[in-house]
Amino acid sequence: MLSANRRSVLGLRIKQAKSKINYWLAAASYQPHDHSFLMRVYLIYILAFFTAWILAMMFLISDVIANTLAPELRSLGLGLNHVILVCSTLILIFWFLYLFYKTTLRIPLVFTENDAYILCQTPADRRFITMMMFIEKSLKHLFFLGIISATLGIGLFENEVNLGIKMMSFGTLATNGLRPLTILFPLYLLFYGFVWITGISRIQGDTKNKYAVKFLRISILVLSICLLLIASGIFLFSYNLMVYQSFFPFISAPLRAAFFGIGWKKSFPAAIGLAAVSLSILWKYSGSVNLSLAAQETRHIHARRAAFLIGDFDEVNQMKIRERLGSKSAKTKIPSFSGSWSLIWKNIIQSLRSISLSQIWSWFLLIPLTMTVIIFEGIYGYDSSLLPLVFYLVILIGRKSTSLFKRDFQNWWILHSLPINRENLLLHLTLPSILIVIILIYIAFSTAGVFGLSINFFITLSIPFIVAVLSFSFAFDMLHQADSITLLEGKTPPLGILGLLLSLGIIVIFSVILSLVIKPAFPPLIGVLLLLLVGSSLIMILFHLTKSELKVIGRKPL
Amino acid sequence: MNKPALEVHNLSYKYGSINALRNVSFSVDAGKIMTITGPNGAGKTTMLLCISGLLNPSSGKILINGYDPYQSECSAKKELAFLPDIPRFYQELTVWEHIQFIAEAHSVMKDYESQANELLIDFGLIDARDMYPHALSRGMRLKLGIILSLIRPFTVLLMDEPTSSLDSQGTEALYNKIFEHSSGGAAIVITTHNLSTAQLLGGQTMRMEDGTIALSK
Repeated sequence: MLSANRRSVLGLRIKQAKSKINYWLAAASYQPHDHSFLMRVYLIYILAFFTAWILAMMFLISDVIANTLAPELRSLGLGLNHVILVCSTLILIFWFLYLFYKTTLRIPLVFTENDAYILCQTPADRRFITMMMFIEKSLKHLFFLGIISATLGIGLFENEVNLGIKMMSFGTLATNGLRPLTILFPLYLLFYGFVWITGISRIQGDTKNKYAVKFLRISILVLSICLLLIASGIFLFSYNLMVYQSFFPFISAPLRAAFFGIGWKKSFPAAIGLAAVSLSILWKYSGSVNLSLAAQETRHIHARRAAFLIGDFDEVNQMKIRERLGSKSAKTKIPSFSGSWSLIWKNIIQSLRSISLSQIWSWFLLIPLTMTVIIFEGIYGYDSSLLPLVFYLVILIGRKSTSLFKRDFQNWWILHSLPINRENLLLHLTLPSILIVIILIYIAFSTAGVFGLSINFFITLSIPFIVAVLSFSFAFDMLHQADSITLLEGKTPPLGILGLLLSLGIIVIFSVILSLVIKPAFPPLIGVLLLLLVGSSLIMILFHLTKSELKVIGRKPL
Repeated sequence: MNKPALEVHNLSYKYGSINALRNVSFSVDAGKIMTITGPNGAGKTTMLLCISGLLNPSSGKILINGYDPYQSECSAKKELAFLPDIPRFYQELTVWEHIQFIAEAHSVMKDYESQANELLIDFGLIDARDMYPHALSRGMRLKLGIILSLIRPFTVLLMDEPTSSLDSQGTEALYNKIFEHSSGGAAIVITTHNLSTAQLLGGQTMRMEDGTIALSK
C-alpha cells in the first residue's frame, strides 16, 4: 500500500504522462475530452493502425537488411553478422559515453517549471520520485530499443534463413526478434543506471565532487576521441572487423549472445545480475537527491522541449540565445548610427551575439541546395523529381530573407515607437538579409561555373528579383497574419501558406513571361531591359502590398 | 490657457462583440498630469494602445500635439512616448545598448549619454548597464522600459501601470521625472490601480468603468 505522499506524486506523474500521450493522440485527430463511443473506436483504430504500421516498417527494414544489404556486404567481402555486431558495439559505446558526458553537465531528472515550484518544494519521497522517473524514461527507451533490436534480430534471422533454414514459423520469428532485447535491455539498465548515479552524485554539491565530475568529463572526452581514432584507424588500415570484437569484448560478447544466441544462457543471467547491481546502487543513492537543484538545472530544458513540441521554434531559438548569452556583461565597440540606420547597427549587434554553428549552417545550406538544383538540372534537364527540392529551397530563401524582419517584430512595442516611416522600416529590415541570400546564391552559381556547369544569363540576372519577391511575399504573409496584441506579447506569426502560394505563383508567372515572351521574342538587350522592368514592377507591387499590411496591423479584429 | 497636447474624441474600440471602449472623450493640456484608475477590464490599457497607435480604434479621433497617429504616423511618434505594462526587449542588446539604440533612432544627439547615466543612477540600474534584459528582474526591466520612454524627446507620455513592480527608489525617481517633464511642458497620462499614486501626482484624475469614463475631475 502506497503512503499518501507517494500516492499524490504517482497521481501527478500519471496525469503528466497522460497529457503527453494525449498530445500525440491529438496530432492524429483523437479528441481526448470526447468520451463518445465513436471516439473510443477511433482510438482503438489509431492504436491498431500505428502498431500495424510499425510492424510493417520493421519487416520492411529487416527485409532490406537481409536481401539488399547482406548481398552488397558479401560482394565487399564482409559478413552481415560482423557488420551489425561491430556497428551496434560502436553505437552503444558512443551512446553511453554521450549520456555519461551529458550527465556531468545536467542531471537526467528533467523537471518542468511547475514541478520546480510545486513538486520539488514538497518533502515528497525523493527515492520514489527518482525511481519512478527512471522507470518512465527506461520504458520510453525500451520501446525504441525494442523496435531497433527486433528489426535487427529478424533481419539477421532472415539472412540465415536464406542461407539454408527453410522453416520460418511465427514462434521462431518472435524468438529471434525478442532475444536481442533480453540482453540489450539489462545492458541498457546497467549503463543507464550508472548514468543516473553519476548525475545524482554530481549535484550533492561538495567541492570534492565537483573536481571528480570535471575529471570524469575530461576523461570521457579523451576516451571518446581515442576510441574514435582507434575505430577509424582499424577500419581504414586493417579493414578487419574481427579486430573490433577483440578490442571491445565487454560489449561485443553480450551482443553476440543477443543477436546470434552464442552463449546466451550465460550472458542473460550475467546481464540481469549486473543490471540489478546498478539499480540497487541507484536505489541507495536516489534517497538523497536534491530535487530543487535538479529542477534548477533542468526546467529550462523542459521549457525548450515543450516549445519545440508545439512548433514554437522562435521561442526555442530565443531560449538558446538567452542560455548562451547568460548573465555576463557585454559592451560593443561597433560605433552607432543615427536615425533609421540605427536599425542596421542594432541588427549587426544582434546577429553577432546570436550567431551559432547551426545558424551559420542554415544560411550556408543555400549554397549546396542551389548547387544540387543546378547539377540535377544540368544532368537531367527539367525534371518533376526536382520539385520537392525547389519547393524546399523557396521556403528556405523565404525564411532566411525574412529572418531579421521576423526577429524585429518580436519587439513590436519598440519597433512601433520609432519615428521611422514604413518604407524605410521595411527596407532596413529586409534588405540586409535579401542581399546575403543573393550573395550566397551567386556563390553557388560561381562554384557551379568552376565545375563547368553553365547557368543561363537571364536566370542569373533574375536572382535578385526572385529573392526579393520571395522575401516580400513571406513578409506580406507574416504581416497579414499579425495583430498588435499578439505582437506586443512577443509572438510573430509563422510563415504561412499564403506567402508560399504568392511567391510560387509570382515566380511561375515571371518564369513564363521570361521563357515564352522575353527570351524568344526580343533581342538580348531589349530582353534584359524588359526583365529588369518586369522584375522591378513585381517587387514594387509586393513592396507596396507589404507596406499596406504594415499600416493595418492595429486594425485586425481580435 | 494651455493648448491640449492630447485630444481624444469619441474613442470606441471593440474586441469582437465586446465594447472595450465606448465614446471616450477627454483632453490633457501641455504640462498637465492625468491619472486614470479603474478596475481590471475597464479599458485603460486598450485606450492607451489606441492612443499610441498600436490598436486602431473602431471609431473616434486622436490628436497628439495636433497630429493624428493614424494619418501623420511619424510626426505623432516623435511627439509621443509610450510604456506598456509589460515591456519587452531585444535579448541580444544590453541595457546601455537599448538606450543607445532608442536615442540614436530618435536622433537625440545632444548629450544623451550623460542624461542616460543620470537616469540609470536615479533608477538604480547603473550597475546593470552592461547586462542583458533576461538577466534583470521584473522590476528592473520595468525601470529599463521607463528609461527608454524618458531618454527620447516627447510632448505626450503614456505609461501603463508604471509603478506596478517598482521598488521605493524607482517609484520616487519616477515621480520626480514625471514632475520634471510636466513642468517642462509635457502632458503625462498614467494608468494605475494605486489610488495613492493618483493622489501624490495630483493633476486630473479619471476613473474608467466598463469602457466609459465613470468620473473625471
